[in-house]
Amino acid sequence: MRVRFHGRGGQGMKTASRILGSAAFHAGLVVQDSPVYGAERRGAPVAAFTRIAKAAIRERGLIAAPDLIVVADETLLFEPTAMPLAGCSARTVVLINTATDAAALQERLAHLGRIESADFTSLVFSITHTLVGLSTALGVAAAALVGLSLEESLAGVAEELAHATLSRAAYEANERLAQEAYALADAWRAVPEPLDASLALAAEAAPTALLAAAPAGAPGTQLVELRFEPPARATPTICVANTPERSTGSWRQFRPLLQRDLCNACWTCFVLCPEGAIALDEHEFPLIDYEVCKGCLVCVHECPTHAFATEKEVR
Amino acid sequence: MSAPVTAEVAAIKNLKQIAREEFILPGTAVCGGCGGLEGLRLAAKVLGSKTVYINAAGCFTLLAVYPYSPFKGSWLYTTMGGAAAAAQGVRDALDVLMARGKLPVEDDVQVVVVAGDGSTYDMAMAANSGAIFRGLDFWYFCYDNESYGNTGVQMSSATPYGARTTTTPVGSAARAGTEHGKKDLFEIWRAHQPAYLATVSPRYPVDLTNKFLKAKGLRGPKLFIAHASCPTGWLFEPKRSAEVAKLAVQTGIFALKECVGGAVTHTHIPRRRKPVEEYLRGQGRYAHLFEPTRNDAALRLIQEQVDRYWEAAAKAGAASS
Repeated sequence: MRVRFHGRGGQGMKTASRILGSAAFHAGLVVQDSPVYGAERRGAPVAAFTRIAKAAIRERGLIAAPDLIVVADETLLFEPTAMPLAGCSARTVVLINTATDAAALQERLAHLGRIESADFTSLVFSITHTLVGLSTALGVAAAALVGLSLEESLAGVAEELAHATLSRAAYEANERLAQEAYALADAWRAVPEPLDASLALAAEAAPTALLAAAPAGAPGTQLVELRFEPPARATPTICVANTPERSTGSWRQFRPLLQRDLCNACWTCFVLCPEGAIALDEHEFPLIDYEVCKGCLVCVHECPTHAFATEKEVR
Repeated sequence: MSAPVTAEVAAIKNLKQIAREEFILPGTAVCGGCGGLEGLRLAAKVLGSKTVYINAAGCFTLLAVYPYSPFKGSWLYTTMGGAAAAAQGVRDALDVLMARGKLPVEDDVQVVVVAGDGSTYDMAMAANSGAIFRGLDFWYFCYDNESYGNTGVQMSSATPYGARTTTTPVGSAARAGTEHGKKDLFEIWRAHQPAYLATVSPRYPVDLTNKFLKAKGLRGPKLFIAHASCPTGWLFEPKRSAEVAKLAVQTGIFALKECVGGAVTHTHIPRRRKPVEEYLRGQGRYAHLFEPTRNDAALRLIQEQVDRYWEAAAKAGAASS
């Protein structure tokens, strides 16, 4: 079984992949799990991989053709740098953490296989009162979907949380969360066994990057051909001060919203925005550039008059 | 040959005197809530656009990724240990160009090293020592997030006692996580007698701005250690980045100070210091000091260290006045 997790840095998908791996290990299976190596960036798209089999796994590297895809953040669905649905087949089950129902997503995503969805974010928040815990919820949900038992799943959670030095109360909340997430996912049909269940050989076509597996015309994809140019010509073309073109606004999970009547134009948010994504208008009120605002919410937290509201991003 | 030294610029008194123009633009790939970027962004408002940034490998590798650059200014990428040497080369080249009349002297182009603590406290120690010893006319901005952040938070010699990193995990043999104390880079650099040396915090923008303004009037090594609150490595919610930086100052853990001509002045003395716990508690890297059982011995050690520092500072202050 090949499971690929997609999330944003800070959402715990690396841990989710480990929880699934540990749970499967407790079930006596052979397991491999690994995250994509990259710079650890909060908010940026990340992926992690878990392989589960009954005998030694010889396959290595990224999972290009997964049996189950777990998407922790719906904003990733149309993110060209993430492309969570790359490598999907009609057999692939896609689990999406979203408040939108599965049928609506099925239509929007044009995915031939099965989509399951649930609002895990609200579930996590109602039990742990923070968003920390998405790793537990999605790790366990994935375990249920690949056919592991509740006991095995809880063992996986226990094993992974042992590294996190949680308080007794936080640990128990995670255990409760795991049980609820398991019950939720257990109601869904299990992911079908892959045709090459042994994973004994490098059965995949071994593409070196997820991009290679992206179907042409997948949502958000745009392939740009870079022509070779001699360095003497190519290097001096580096532009200055052009990062705003990168639109890091897609990283945002919560949007800061200024309530103008509460703002006293004190400059605090403008000065303290680490990105420099806030400018001041002619009356010195802040103007947030949502194209680049990463949604760190320092402005919301530091505002002396509490003039910012926050709103969950839905894309 | 460099441009003539400009007179010291008058200090600012409030936030609204900070420049509105941005010199490091948004859209970079560094983490949301990065305290290091906030510090550099504020510094750049003083440094302006006539700058050459010498960027040592580290988290800030993510600032300028081809074909993008956030800098209004030039940029050169170096190895973790080589930024100060590169700064020497660039400074020399600029001086030669000015001498030949190919670069206007009044442009007064500044050379600015940007390097993390892994680079600054560990790998670049020798190259930095050499550049400062030679009296190189340059700026050095060390964004200190107290670990090798970009590669996944490994211990550096700037990691404080008691913090957990991926290479100093908590175990029965190392209950505090990191058992080394943080290297005192400020004193090491002070012994080199640089033209200017200061610590800055992203949550004290007026203090930070004034230090850069003050250094602007000086020729020679102008060195800054910038506390860089790090949501990813220190494990707190990004929105608390400025708050965590503030708590570091309020608890006395991070001292805001400067050194001109060998004498150290504290630019902000927290009169009623908050207990260090208030800083430590909100960060996952210290969670093991509180849960599942309280490590009183470690907490006491950290508090005592801070108390001793400020007692010594008070004594030194009394002696010099």
